[in-house]
Amino acid sequence: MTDMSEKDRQAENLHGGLAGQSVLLDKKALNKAKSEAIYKTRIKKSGGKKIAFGLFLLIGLVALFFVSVTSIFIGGANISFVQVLEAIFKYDSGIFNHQVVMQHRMPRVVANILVGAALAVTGAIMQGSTKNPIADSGLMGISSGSILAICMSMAFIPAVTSLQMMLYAAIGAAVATFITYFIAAAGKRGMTPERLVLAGMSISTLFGSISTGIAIKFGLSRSLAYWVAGGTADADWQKLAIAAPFFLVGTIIAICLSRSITVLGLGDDVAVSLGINKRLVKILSTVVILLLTGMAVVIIGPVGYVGLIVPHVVRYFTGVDYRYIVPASAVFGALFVVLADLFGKLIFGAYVMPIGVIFSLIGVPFFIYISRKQKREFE
Amino acid sequence: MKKGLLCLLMLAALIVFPLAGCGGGDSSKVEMRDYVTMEDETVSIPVEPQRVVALTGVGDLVAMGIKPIAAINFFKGEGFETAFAGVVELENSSPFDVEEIMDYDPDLILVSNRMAADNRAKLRMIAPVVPLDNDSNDPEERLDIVADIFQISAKADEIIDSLNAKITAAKQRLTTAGVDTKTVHVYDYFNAGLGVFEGPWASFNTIMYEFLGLKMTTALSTLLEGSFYLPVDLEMLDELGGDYYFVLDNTDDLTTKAGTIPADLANNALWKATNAVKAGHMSAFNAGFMAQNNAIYLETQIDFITDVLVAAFSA
Repeated sequence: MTDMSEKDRQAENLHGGLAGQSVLLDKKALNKAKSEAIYKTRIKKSGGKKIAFGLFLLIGLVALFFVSVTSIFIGGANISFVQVLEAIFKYDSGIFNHQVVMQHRMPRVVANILVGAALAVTGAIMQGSTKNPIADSGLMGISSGSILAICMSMAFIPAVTSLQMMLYAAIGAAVATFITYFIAAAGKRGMTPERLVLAGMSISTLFGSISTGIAIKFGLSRSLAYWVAGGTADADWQKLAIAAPFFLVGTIIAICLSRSITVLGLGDDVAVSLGINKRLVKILSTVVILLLTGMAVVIIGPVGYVGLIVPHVVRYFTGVDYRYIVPASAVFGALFVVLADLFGKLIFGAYVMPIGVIFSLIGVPFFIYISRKQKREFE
Repeated sequence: MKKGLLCLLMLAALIVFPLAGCGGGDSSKVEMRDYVTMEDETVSIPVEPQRVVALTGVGDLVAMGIKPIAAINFFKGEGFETAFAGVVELENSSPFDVEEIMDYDPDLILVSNRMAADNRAKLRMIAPVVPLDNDSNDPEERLDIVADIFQISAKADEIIDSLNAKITAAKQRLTTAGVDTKTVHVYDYFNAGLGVFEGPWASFNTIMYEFLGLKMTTALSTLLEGSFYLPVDLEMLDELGGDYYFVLDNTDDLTTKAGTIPADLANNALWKATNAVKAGHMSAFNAGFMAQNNAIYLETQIDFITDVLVAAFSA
């Protein structure tokens, strides 16, 4: 046997190292390829009826347009069809009915659109990022933070204006979000869907109790009752001008995140293999939830169930790809809220109707249905 | 034997002296009488109550010359700073605190006829409980009950006569200023719309529409038919009409009679577009003051409303 020279031994080690690295690189590429295949297969095979997304979105937009226009023509005041058209195309600020159309009904419709879209997109992002099908801003304690902030501002700040209350509600939403996520993530197991829901419900209960105590102590019960019940009757262009940038930024980030959230739903291994930064996605998701929920709550109040119902309905038609779910939720969320408000106007006419009541009437049975479906799937 | 006797004597002293102390503290006997309440219940009350705690109706009592030792729910602001001197305001009103009331050692407790039976039962353990009429905005009805309890009917008659004279004079002033042909509305602004009240349900409505004979528009009275209170959309303002608008200021500041129109309403486009507001025919009053229906406030409230309306329509 010939002794190997030093050079030959070094060459052999190098070749073995390179071969080892080559095996490692091949493994990574293989995992990535597998993940991509899983991604494409799962997206293709996603449950529910799928129709052409473009057509689905178009139907939603057309329906939204017609319902919105109808809502402008209908209200407590007896304003004729012609007068409404005159108000839109020949606006005269000296005519009361023109003011009703342009300064009251129209901002109300726009507010309903923004709020509906925001809440539905928030729900979709929450459900996708937390992998929790019953995630909704109303159930996660976020709205209760806004209620508490509003309550405290009514109690402790004399003559607080609605614009100031918008700011406080946003701060309250942020604090509640932070506490909920902090509690859910605390401990070795980290955040799980169940812990998030439990944390949210605990925070909701805690903040709700404090708000009730403040309301009783300071005699705010009646003022707060109407705010908590929810509605856009007091929407005006000034509030919408403040809210619109938050809506735009939040929605754009949500759309940009949609692919990442879809991938996250396929499992952590697949997500990592496809280069998804889980931490960044979750942080940006939280930012979206905060922006959109805070904006919605200050306009309409702490209404729930929109974010729960709409993404589920949309998912049935579009599948599990959040690149479709998010924009579709925006459109159909807007449609849902405008329709609910119109329904309220048709029933209550001249009287103020808290829209939150309608959402609760629809939302609670839906929540029970989804919870039981989840339980059956688990069993 | 001697030790046993000594112990027995000490034991007897320990028992007898405290009993003697308990029995001999107040030797005067309070004279009681049977009184039939507005709810046809017979209650034994002192002939001359000295330590009254009023959980309602303190303004009626003070107008009649009765000063409770403690009470709740009274306006002691502008013009009434000294009227309630010596009347302590209870810290706990809704709900009341039994121990706090007990501290005052009352010999009579006056409550609202709307108070639940279980709450009255708690108070009965302290002193006799008699209900006053909280449902009526008719001062004569309410003062008759107070007069009956304290046996001072002449004072009630005096107050009613003075009130009637005030009403007559106020109506004359309003007629001279042309206000009797105008329509006046009272609105309660909340974040979503305007609250409107049916006539007798709110005391300020009683003053305006019953005592002073002012009118609301047919549109508003039709809308309110059969309802105590309704939340109305702001877009109804033009249809409801009205020549003058009063707005409730639900402020915590209970020192002034006048109030401030909430900024959100004052800046609202629909509010500013109404004829009344364009003409400057609107103002606010302190809800805590104008919602009081007790006799002591009535003449001041009548003067307040009359002065505001005469000033608005005389200008």
